[in-house]
Amino acid sequence: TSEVPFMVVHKKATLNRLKSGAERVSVSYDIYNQGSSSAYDVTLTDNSWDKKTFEVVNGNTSKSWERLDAGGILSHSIELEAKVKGVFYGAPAVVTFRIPTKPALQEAYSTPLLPLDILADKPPTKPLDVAKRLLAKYGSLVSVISMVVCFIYLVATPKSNVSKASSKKKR
Amino acid sequence: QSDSEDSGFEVSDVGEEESDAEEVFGLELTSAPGIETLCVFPKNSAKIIKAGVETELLVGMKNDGQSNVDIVAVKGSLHLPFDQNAVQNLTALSFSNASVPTSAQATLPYAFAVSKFLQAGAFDFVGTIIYEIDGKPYQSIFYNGTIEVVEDGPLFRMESVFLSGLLIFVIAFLAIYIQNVLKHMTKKTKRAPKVEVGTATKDASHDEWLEGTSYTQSSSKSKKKK
Repeated sequence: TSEVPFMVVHKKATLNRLKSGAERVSVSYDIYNQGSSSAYDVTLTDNSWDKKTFEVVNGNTSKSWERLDAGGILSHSIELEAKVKGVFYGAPAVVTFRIPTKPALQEAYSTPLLPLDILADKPPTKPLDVAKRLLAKYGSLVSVISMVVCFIYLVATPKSNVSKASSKKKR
Repeated sequence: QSDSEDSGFEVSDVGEEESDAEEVFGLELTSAPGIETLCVFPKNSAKIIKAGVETELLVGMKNDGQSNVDIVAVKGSLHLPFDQNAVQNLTALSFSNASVPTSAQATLPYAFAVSKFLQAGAFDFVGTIIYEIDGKPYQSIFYNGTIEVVEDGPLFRMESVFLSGLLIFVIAFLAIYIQNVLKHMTKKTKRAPKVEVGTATKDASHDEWLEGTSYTQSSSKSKKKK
């Protein structure tokens, strides 16, 4: 086949709950050119963030680059603030680019987004559940370390008794 | 990376719940013309996979055909390097509403976790994407190569704790042994001055231990006789 760029676009969103109760959505885009030639006029457009639901806090939902060589990676990230509570289903972002052999704009879609549960109520954490989790996670490690320490202590203890007995014999 | 036909690959994933995917899995599928697939390990160029930890990779698909492509599922399996028996069939990810229009490219995420009891080493990973064009099922292999499975564990593992404990014990034992050897050497040096003290007892009249005893009186008598 002819040499053409092959765009793999990775869209990832992370929810961050602020102390004031607001929730920020950090979205990152990674564009990989896994083809065998360069792409020109690369434009990333993400229109899936509804203005009624999200407000752009940092960054821009559109970004352009002049060129992306074969094997290269471009990254872009934005930050949004959630305004409406509920589950949000995001559409993939669109990356358009040009290749010298075709006059039309080429399109590449990013990975779809998993459903985001925005402004969800956090269930109160019970101390018993926390203790169970800690015990399951570190219980075996603590028991092993304590066994080793007890073994070392038992080995070290009779020496002092032997020295006491020998001193008594001398007297 | 062009797609390749896979006529010999058999799917034995009985646990699949979706009926559409189950129909597709039972057939031997070929790849459609005009479809190219490839695989990207994001931020993981060495293709290292931790056992028991979820790993995500990106499946790229390019549609240069005449019709839209409806993505059905993405699945993978793990094989031994020298044997094509599947060590582990990884979870199949089903898509219900994913399609790639003509002359477009799309990216699909595929997250899987290798069994955490798997021994570390090199394995063959085969990734397959199943799609439909105008109702007819096809499949393409987006990755067929070697990956490196490593163990994921905490900083302190049981084996390391035992080994370090044994090392500490050996060091302590050596220290105690050296102390005993040193004590023995000091005892030897103590005996030598005892011998010197013993030679001094020849002059009995000046020995404070023998003053006032019958031995001194007998010695004084012998002096008087002379």
